[in-house]
Amino acid sequence: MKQELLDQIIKEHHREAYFWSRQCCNFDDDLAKDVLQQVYLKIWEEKAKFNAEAKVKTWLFSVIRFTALEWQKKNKKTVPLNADFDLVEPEKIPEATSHEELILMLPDRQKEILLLVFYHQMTLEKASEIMEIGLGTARTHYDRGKKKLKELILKKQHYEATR
Amino acid sequence: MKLQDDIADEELEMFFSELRNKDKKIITPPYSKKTPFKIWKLIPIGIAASLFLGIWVLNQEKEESQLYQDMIIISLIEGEDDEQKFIIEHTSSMDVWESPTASLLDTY
Repeated sequence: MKQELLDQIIKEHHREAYFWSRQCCNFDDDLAKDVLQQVYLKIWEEKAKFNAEAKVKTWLFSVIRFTALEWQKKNKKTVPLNADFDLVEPEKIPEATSHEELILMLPDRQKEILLLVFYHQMTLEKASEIMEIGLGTARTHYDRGKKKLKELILKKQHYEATR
Repeated sequence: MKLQDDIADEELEMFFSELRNKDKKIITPPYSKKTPFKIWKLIPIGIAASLFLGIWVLNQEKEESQLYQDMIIISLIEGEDDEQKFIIEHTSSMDVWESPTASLLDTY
């Protein structure tokens, strides 16, 4: 694909790409901006090449996710123990828990798949491509994530009702 | 069971829809294309500069450095009849001047 055309398409997806970058960076605005800038540099320098088989959005989201993970590894912010296992058990729902805080209580993979499917309106198949996992694994994370998030929402609602 | 799941999914849809609405207030940073700096573009400039510098250094002639002003050399020389004479010379370069005691180095 020609660089100008790719540029144009990326420009169209810029806002959504920024939100995905923000979500991959645990809703840290400054970090999200840096990661997105790095992603664009990778594309302009042709370090990240577009594979015509994938859709531009899927590919762009995949590069963003990879770059954010790379960044977190460099800064040693991630200890991905909870990525595949449900070790995180949120014990308390704080008084003013925002939507973002509730999402952050989920294990990484569950958080990512729910955001891709519910927030970015993607199919499970596309989400699994972005996350570089099999469809079966994606489905498992999706089901577990939904269950866990529902529990958290219920806890929050219960807390607000009894306050 | 399926119906219950669907209802619960609606709850999640609503949750994420609220999040999307909240995010509408966020200002997206502008998309600006920065041309990446490619270091390899500097290589030909570096080679050209090195060549130019090399040629310039090689072509430089060694100039004879002139004294700031003409120098007067006054030497005391002993003549054949044991008479001592002063010889006064003018020079613009130190190359022609030889110390009158230089011969002592060879003799002793």
